[in-house]
Formats: sequence, structure tokens, C-alpha cells
Amino acid sequence: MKNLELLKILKPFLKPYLKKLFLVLLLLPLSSISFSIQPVIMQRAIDGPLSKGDFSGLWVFALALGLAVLFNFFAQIWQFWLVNIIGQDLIASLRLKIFSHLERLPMSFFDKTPVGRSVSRITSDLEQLSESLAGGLVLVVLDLLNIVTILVFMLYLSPVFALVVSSFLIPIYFLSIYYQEKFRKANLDSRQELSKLNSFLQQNIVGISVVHALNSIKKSMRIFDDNNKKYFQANDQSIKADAQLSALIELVSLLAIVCLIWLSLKIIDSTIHIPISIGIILAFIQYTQSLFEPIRNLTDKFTVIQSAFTALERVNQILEEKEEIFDIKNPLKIPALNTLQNQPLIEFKNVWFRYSPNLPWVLQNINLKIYPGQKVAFVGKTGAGKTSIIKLMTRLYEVTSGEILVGGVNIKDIAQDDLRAFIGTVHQDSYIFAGDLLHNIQLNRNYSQIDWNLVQDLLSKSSLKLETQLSERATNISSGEEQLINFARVFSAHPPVIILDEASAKIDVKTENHLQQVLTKHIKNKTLIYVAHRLETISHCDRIYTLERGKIIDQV
Amino acid sequence: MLVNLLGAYIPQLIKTTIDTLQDLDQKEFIQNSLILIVLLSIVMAIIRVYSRQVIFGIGRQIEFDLKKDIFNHVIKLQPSFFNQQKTGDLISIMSNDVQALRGLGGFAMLNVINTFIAFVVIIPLMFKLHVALTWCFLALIPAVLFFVFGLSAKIKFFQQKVQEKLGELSNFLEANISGIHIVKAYAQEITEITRFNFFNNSLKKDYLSLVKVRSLIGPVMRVIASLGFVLLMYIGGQGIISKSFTAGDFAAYSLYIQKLIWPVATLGWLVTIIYRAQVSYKRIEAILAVKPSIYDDPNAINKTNFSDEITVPALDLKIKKGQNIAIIGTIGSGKSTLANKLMRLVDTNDNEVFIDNVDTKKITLSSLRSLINIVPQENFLFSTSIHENIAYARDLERAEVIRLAELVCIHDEIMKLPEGYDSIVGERGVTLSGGQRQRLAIARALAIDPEILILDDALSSLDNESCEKILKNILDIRKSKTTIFITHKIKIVYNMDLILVMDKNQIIEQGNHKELYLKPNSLYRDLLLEAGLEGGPDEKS
Repeated sequence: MKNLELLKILKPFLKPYLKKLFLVLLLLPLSSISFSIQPVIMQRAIDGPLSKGDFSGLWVFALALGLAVLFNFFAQIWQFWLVNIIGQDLIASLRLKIFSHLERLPMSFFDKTPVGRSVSRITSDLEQLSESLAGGLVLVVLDLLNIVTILVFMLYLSPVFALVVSSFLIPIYFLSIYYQEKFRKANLDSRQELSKLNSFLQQNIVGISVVHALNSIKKSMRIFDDNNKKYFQANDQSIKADAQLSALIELVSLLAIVCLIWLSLKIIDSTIHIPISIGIILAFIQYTQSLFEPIRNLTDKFTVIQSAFTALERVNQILEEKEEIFDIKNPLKIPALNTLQNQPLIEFKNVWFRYSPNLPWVLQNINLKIYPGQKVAFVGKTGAGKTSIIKLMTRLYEVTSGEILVGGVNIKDIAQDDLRAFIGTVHQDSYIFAGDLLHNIQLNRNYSQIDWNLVQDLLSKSSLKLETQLSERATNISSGEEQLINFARVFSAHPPVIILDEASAKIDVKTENHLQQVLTKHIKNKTLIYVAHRLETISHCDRIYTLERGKIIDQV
Repeated sequence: MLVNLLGAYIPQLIKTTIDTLQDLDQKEFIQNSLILIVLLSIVMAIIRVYSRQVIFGIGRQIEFDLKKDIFNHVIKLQPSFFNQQKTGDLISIMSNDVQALRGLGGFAMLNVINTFIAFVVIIPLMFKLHVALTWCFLALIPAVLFFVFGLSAKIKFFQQKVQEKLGELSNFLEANISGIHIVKAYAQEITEITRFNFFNNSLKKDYLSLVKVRSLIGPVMRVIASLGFVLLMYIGGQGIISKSFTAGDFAAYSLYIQKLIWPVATLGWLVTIIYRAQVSYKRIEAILAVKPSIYDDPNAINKTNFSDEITVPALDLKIKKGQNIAIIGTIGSGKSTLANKLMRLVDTNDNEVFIDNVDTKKITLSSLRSLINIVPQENFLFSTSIHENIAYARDLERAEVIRLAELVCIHDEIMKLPEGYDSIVGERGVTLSGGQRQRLAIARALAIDPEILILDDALSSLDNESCEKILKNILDIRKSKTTIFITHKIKIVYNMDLILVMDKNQIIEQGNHKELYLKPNSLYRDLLLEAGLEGGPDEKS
């Protein structure tokens, strides 16, 4: 069973709760029996003291019934609480595990996985799981147990009636299955239409300025209306299935009662001697109600459980993603800069790289040496492999073959944290976190590690201040300002090697020159690596590599 | 209605049959009433199928209409509105809040009807069966309501908290994952995990409180129903002994209790649903109440042609038909704002911008925007095919789409994709590079072929070679039309008819290359020199 395999994911998280789980298992049959026994007590009372006209005997039965009711009440609450405590703890640990795992996944995972998908794994899928654990799994077990105990008590009261009533379970069961299937399909359709509708909405909001600029508001309205109509129709089907099922179940349970009364009539009428009494008939009327309801819900709840498994499966997909890039046990330190005179600081040895085995090579046999204090540039057309070289250098991706050395040490033997503190990268695209500018530059690093003088100088010509509040995705500042922040982040920590990946594409010449001045004032003896389209930026470089289709075709 | 009346009548029939069961003379009568019960049940089932569909159909209709209204409203709002409004919030209004109102139309309405019938029809019938018992039973109802209201208040409270915490968590996650390359580049994984766990734990705490309260509801309802049975047995039992109450009454009464418990129990849900619907309604109302700040003047005219010039008196700006214009300047100097103002993506004051001496505020937005169009900085594409993206603003034949793609030098790259022009862009489709997206965005705007086209830094992600090619193509096909380039690439501005240099939202210099270059102390010249370019190609000095 695939589902059982999936449950294994939860096993390690359940360990601390074995005692509580045991208690739940103990409580389950107790609460089920205290529920199913109630009509029997009533029957005893009716056929006992009531038929004999015995007033004084009545209160004992009333008391017994009251006790059963109260016992059932407390047992249920207790077990629900236990299950919920276990469930919520489990979900929280699972959530933490998924997130920690996610943080360690390689960039290639994030390249192919939309952000929304990862977010919903951790939020809505886990929420689904927690809802199903609380509302599905336990209730299903309880319902099943109730059905069993009710059947036992019915057999005890009257085997013939028990047979008649339980024969009605068959049509109920098939009706539920049939409609549930219909319902599920309709529901799936409607959910698909809904997600289409929502994603269209999201796109139109994210691209609102494009929608307005393209003068296509009317077009968007029309498409939305079409999608909305489809969703409306899909809903229709699920409402229909639901209405039919609930009506039919009610019908069948009434028919069962009619059948019971008719049978009693036949028995009284005939000479067959089967013990029946008013008390038994009344008890059975109650049983039919409490028997059919859970069966109807059972199929509902199976759907809930099914969706829990779907959620678990999706979560598992993330957990099964391999980390690929991880630190070795005792990582080596990068040697101090002053011990590296005349030795290459960064060296590529026969490096080959591709994103996956079925894709073409992105880099082919790259060999190069970068010495301390050098200024090096990579140029070439879009897609020539410039950015890939950079990503390999900071180990955001792993080389397919060959090796990269930093300070003579293979980067696979250096802790990723150390490597990335050693080589700072100003990316083409940056990311602004919601919060003030100070937070965006500091980024969980120590305040004292940051060269705030440099930051102040960098920002001096712009309207940005450290306390400026930035919105998510930087919608309130220009893309040039965003890039300034990007520079400040990297340079303020003074990494020995700095990579500038098309860093000034969005910046005007004046700002770029200001940037240069600030950097020359604050930054000395750094190794700088440029990736550029603009030849102006790299005129002062010591070495220029030209790339074409993943190969170095020229170096000067 | 009818369903509920029939539902109330059937226990009466059951009662009579049970009461006469002992009496063999009445066999005919019993059989007839049994047949009657069966027939009534069938009628009831049929009516129920339709009535439920009608009632839930109302909810569905509400959802449909609301969604349409909200979308049609939101899409008209000015883009700047969405700077403060998070996308996630809007989506949640569209899905969760609308859903809450839908629940009001379906589930809640069904319940109101059921509860009403229960009180109007079933309780009198119960009184008819046994007065004292019914009073006792009614005494239980305040207890039910007390519990239900108390619990739903708590549930509401925790539900809100959980929603807030979930919101915080997903905002954190979204920021973290979108910025994962930054997180990794600065080795912030561990600190991020610690921060995550802080959100995670506080979510867990509130979630637990919520489910604890929520799991009380079922048992509380059941215990109250069961207490009703205890009463029935004790008081009704006494009645049977004193012959004032029959076994049939007993059976009918027990069916009534079950019929009554459900509506009373769901009364609590009803309260929660109505409350939620209220909150949701307010949120929806708030969105619908946002007035678009950019809208058509009631006397706006449709302007279909551009014959002379655009003027912005405050900036001393005149753009003649057919000119090629470049706008340059430092970051944050107001270039994009000016461009957006021309087509009122950012709103203007009265008499600020004129086209052929007509105030743009007096021109309908749709006609203005078919005259002037822009390729915005952020190259947003829709998640549909490449063909449809290029032909987004105007339906085009494939041949025409290919012609446009060739103009922006992307045809060959598109043909290399597995499905060519039918490849889907975005999350579920092919991933395009920044340069490719930029070129598609240009092609999309060229498809409109507007009188005035603005390219807002739309060549920034292109390498020099392709940039020059595309620039030449654009200028070739737009010879008689007006094209405005906002750019940091100083190289491309030499041959423009008019160069605007902006600083602090003002145009501080304007003229052609020669004029600006020869002007003493010109910022233009500064920029040129700083870019390492001396003079122009035709002007080596």
C-alpha cells in the first residue's frame, strides 16, 4: 500500500507520544460502548418497570442512562483533546522539518519550483493534514467502532430485526460510494476551475500596470467572466450530488423504520414465536438513525482522509528532494590571504557543467586562475555561461566534473557558510525583504560586522535612509535604488572576493561613478570579478575572459 | 418548507401505527398508514433534492456575482493601489471571504429554515404529545444556546488568531523562498530556520487552543440530546405507567428530539457563519469602496488620432509627432513617472499634459492608451502561450506574430522551444531569461502599433549587439511615429531628435546631441564623459 508507506513519514514524529496514543486506543472502545448501550437501557426500562407499572424501578434506569451519557461525554472530550495535542505537535515538527529541509535544497530545486508551490506545501497542505488528523482519522475509527458495537447490541436485542436493519446498510453503502465518487469528481473539477480563476486573478494583479498599459482591461474582464462561468457550472454538479445523496439517505432510513413496523405486524399476526416488544421496536428505531448517519459520514471522512494522504504525498515530494550540496564532516578553512602570495586565489580545473544530464553542456572544460587583488571580467552574449561560472564559484550549483579551488582548497571541502562569506556576490536581481533598509542590509548578520560608514556613503546621493521602510518586492523604490541596496549588502561586509554579476545594468552612469568612488575609498586590495555586457565597466580589468557557448574563446 | 412539514408529520403516522400495533383488528389501517409513510417519504425525498439545489444554488449565484463584481472593480484600479495592497490579501478576499458569503446563502439559509420550522411546527406537536416533558426539554435549549454562543465566541477568537499567524507564516515563507539566493549567498539558513520556528510555535499554540475548543462542540451537542432522552425516559415513562402517554407517543417524541437537536446544534455554527460573513462582507465592501483615482471624466472625448504634439507646460516639454526621443537621468529622477503620466498610468492634474492641445484628463482612458503605449520596466508576461502574449492586446495571425518576433530578434529562440509559439510561459511552462522576456514585451507593445510608444528601460537586459539590432528595427518601422526611449544606455541616444535630461523630477536640459554636447557645463556632457564616451560617432572632439 502506497498510503502505508506515506504514513511512515510520520513515524519518527509519533515516538514521544506513545503513551498518549495508547490511552486514546483505550478510550475509544469505552466511549463507543457507552454510546451504543443507551437504546438498550431504554428498552430495558420500557419492557421492564414501564410495562409492569413500576414507578420505583424507573429512576434506576434513568440514572443508568444519565451515567452512560455523561461517561460518553467525558471520554470523548478527553480523547479528542489527546488526539489534538498529538496532532498539532506533530504538524509543527513536520512543518519545521520541511522548512529546514527546504532551506538546504540546491538552487536547481528553486529554479524549477514556483515560490507559491513551496509556500503552499508548508501552509495549506500541512493545514489540510492537520484538519484531517483531527477531523478525519479519529472520527472514522470512532464511527467504525460505533457501527460494530451497535450491530452487537442489535443482535443481542433481536437477531431478526438486526438482520433486517443491517440489510439496509447495503443500499446505503452503495449509494454513498456511488455519490461520493460523483461528488469527488465534481469537487475536483470545481477546485481545478477555482485554481485557474485564482491564478488568473493573481496574474492580473501582479501585472496590473501591464494590463492597463496594454489597454486590455476589457479583455481581462471577459476572460475572468468565462472562467467564472466554468467554475459556476462545475459547482452545480457537486451541489446536485450532495442534495441527492442526503435526500436518499433520509428516505432509506425512513423505509427501514417502516419495514421494522411492518415486520412486527407480521410477527404479531402470525404464529411464529419471536420475542418482540414495544421497547425493542423503539430501540431499533433509534439504532437505525445512529447507524445510517455514520455510514453516510464515513464516505465523507474517507474523502478527508484521502486528501490528507494527498497532502502527505506532496509534502513527501519535498522531503525526498535530495540536498545534493552539503558540507563535509570536518570542513577545511580557507587559508589566510597573506599566505597566498603568488598562488591563485580561485582556480577552475577542467570544469564541466550542465543543469541536468538530459540538458546540453552549459560550461565546457573551463580552466582559469584568478590571483589575489586581480580584477577579472567575463564577457559574452546572453546564455554564454558567464552567470553559471559565478554560481559554481559560490557553490550554488555543483560542478558536473572537474574541480574549483579557493585558496588551494577544493570548495567541496569548505563549509558553504565560509565560502559565501569569503566570496560576496552582487546579483543581477536582488531581493528586498519587507522591513526597513537597515534590516535589509544587515540581514541577520551582526551589527558590528557591517561597515556602516560605507553604507552611508553609498546611499548619500539617493533619498534612501537606513530607517526607510521597504515593501515586499521593493514596489516603493526604483530598480536602481534596489540595486544600490544590493551593493550595500555585499560591500559592507568586506568579503575578500567580490563578484559583480551584471550589477550595474539598471544603474545610470552617474550613479555608477558615484558607486565607483565610494568603493575605491573604502575597498582596497580586493579581488573583483565582473560579469558584464557594457564594455565601459571592464576597461580597467587586469584580465578579460570572453565566453561563447560555454567555452572560453579568448583571454586578454 | 413542505419537506419539513412532511418530516414533522411522518412521526405522527409512526406513532399511530405503533399505538395500534397490538390491536389486530386494525391491520388494514396499519398497512395503509405504512404505505402512506412510504409514499410521503418518497415525495419528501424528491422535494428535498430540488429544494436543496435551489438553496445552495443561491449561494453559488452569490459567489459568482461577487467574484465578477470584485474582479471588474479591482482591474480598473490604478496600479499604484497595488503597492500597498498585498496580492495575497486580495486573493484571500476573492476566495475566503466570498466563500464565507456563499456559505451564508447556502448552508446558513437551509439552517434558518430548518430552525424556524423546528420551532414553529415541531415544538407545538411535542406539546401536544406531552406538555410537562416538552417544558423540561425546552429548558435544555438555553443551555445549548449558552454553550454554543460561548464556544463560538472562543472559536471565532482563536480562528482569527490562527488566520493571522498563518498569514504571518506564509508572508515570511514567501519572502524567504523568493529571496533564497540571498539567504544562501549570505549563509543565513540557520538564522532563518530559527525565525521560522518562532512563527511555527506561536501558530501551534493558537491552533491547539482552537481545536481544543472546537472539539467540544460535537460532544456537548450530543450530551444535550442524550439528556433529552433521559428526560423522555423518566417523565415519559411515568406517563406510560399512568396511561397518559403511549408507546407510539414515546417513539414519535424520540424522533422529534432528534429532529430538533440538529437545528439547535447548528444554531451555533450559524452564529459563527453569520459573523464570518459579516467580517467578510466588510472586507469586500472596503475593496469595492476604493474609488479608482484614475477614471474617465464624464465629458471625456474619444481621441483617435495624434496629429501635432504632446505638451507638458510645467516641464516646458514639447514632443512633436514623428520624433524619436530619449529620456536620460540619474536613478529616481522621475523619468518613469513622466512616462506613466503621459498615458495616465500615474494620474495627472488638470491641464498638466496635453495632446494636440487637448488636456489628457479630458480624453477617455481607453482611447488615450491606444494612442500612447509603454513597455514597462518590469517585463511581466501572462501564463499563456508565447503567441497569445505577443498578441495580447490585439488578436493577430501567426504570420503577423512571427513578423513581430523577428523584429525583436527572438524568432529563432522561440523556434528552438519544444512547442514553438505555442509554448506556455511561466510557472507551468518554459522559463525565459530576462532578455527574452524583455523582447517579448517589446513585441507585444509593437503589436499595438501606437502613435506614441514609450520604452521604459526596456533594452537594459540585452547585450549590445542585439540591442542595436532591435533599436534599428524599431526605428525603421516607426518612422512616421513617435517613439520615446527611457534609458541608461548613453550610446543609443546620439541619433535621437530630442534628448531630455532629467533630475529631481525636472527636465534640466533638452535638445539634440549636438546642442547638449556643446552647451557649457551640461550634465549631458558629464554623463557622456563619465560613461567614457567622448562626443558622438559623428563628432569626435
